[in-house]
Amino acid sequence: MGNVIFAPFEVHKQGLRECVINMGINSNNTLFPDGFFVEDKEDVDESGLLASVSVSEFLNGLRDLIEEEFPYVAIRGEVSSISIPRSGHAYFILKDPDAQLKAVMFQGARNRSRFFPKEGDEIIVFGRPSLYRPRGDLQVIVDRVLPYGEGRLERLFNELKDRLDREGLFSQGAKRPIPEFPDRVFVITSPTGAAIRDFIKTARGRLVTSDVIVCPTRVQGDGADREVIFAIDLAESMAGPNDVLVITRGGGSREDLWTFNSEALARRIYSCKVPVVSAVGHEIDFTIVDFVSDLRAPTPTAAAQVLFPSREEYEDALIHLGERLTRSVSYKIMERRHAIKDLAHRLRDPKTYLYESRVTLDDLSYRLERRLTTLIAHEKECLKDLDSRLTFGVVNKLSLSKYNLKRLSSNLEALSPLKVLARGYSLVSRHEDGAIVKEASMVRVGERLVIRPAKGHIKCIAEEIVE
Amino acid sequence: MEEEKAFRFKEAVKELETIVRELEDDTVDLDVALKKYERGIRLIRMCNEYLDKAELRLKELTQDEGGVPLLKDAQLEE
Repeated sequence: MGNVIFAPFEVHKQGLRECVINMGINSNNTLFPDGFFVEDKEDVDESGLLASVSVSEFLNGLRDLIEEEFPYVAIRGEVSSISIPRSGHAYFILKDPDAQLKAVMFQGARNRSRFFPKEGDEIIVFGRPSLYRPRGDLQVIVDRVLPYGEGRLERLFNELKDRLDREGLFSQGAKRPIPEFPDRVFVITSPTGAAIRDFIKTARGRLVTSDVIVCPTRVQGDGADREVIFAIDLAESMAGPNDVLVITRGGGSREDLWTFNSEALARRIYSCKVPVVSAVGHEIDFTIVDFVSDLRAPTPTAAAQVLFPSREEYEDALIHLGERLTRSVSYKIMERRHAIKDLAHRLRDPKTYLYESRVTLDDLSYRLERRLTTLIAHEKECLKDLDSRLTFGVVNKLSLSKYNLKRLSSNLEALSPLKVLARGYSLVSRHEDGAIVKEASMVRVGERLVIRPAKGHIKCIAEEIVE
Repeated sequence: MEEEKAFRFKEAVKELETIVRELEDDTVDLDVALKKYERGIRLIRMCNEYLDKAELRLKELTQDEGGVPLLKDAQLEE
């Protein structure tokens, strides 16, 4: 029996024994009755009476062994099932793919710690392992906790996200536009979840003209991603060009939402011919589906708001447009009426034109007259000017001539032979022809001569010629 | 039903907006304006009828045993 009990600890048996011996704990120790450690089946008393211990004794011994062997340990694992009851102590499970271990972090230690993990975090806990005897549970009493990088899920998520991103599955260019006023909205979700309730409730308050077609599917757990893919296949086979797909579920833990981090699902959404709106979890939750979908709505309610416009908005817009329509036409009519009135007013009395023409005529004739007067005056002025210039010119010329004449006559006077005669000279001329005698040879003896002194003349005959 | 299908609410609202903008422009002739006004009033009436009729029709898409898509009215508790 003994070795059956110890079976899980087979590997450690030797170590535990040595540990106990090394620490000076011998088989006489009250905690370890005779027969506690057995080498093999043959050593166990057939009746079991000698070797048997009570459960408490056994667990006490085991606990002490564990606490002696592993006084302080650092264990790495992923956190799940965190529970913090009113006591303030935190209980959670530390796990890896093959095993899990219970852990407790008492309130004091938790208060001292700067970091406290959330679900899914991969962490390292520091503390001492112990046995909780009332339940027979092995648990580690944590006094310090540190994050170990990012949790495993987080790492998987990021790896997938980076890979698909590099492949271009999230590129904005690949996003299909979401139709306004879609004909049909296929909602892929759990028919009993909060998401479909929220979506429909919100849609009822808005302007919905579409058929809303629920495609029931599981939204969490193993294989849920394949169900969602199947629902996409089904919806796509029925969808028309003005339809849209909504993939939604309500909030939940990271594991609950894990379906929406499926690579196969992401690739199916990418290849889907119909535009896809995703609304997974709460606003803070981002899944791969959110990245690959054509539009991410933070919540199912938000998805309904995105797809269906506000009814009031359109009702108000129509009222407003109607008012503007009527007002603009009324204004136009009023404008025309004014124009016609104006025309009629101007048409009423043709005399107005006559009067206007007359005024124009008057004005023109007045201006003509004035112009003519000015012209005449100007011409007169010109004539006057010419006249005065002419008169002045003639007078000028006359007086100049008079002056010249006077001067000339005075010169002439100076040259007159009479002046010379006055000084006692006389002129002698031949009587016959009147020629002035300039030399004696001009005269023959007996020729008649006329002598002209200053006054009167003397007739005489030449007696002798001396040459 | 056919006419309802042909009538696109959003396009009607857009056309209405265009008409109102045109009418608010002074250069449009009155006879053209009156025709547009008539069209606008008709559009408003159609839009209002559309709003009155618009309601959510809820259906459910599943498959029958033979794997044929099956579309039926949905009975979801809200």
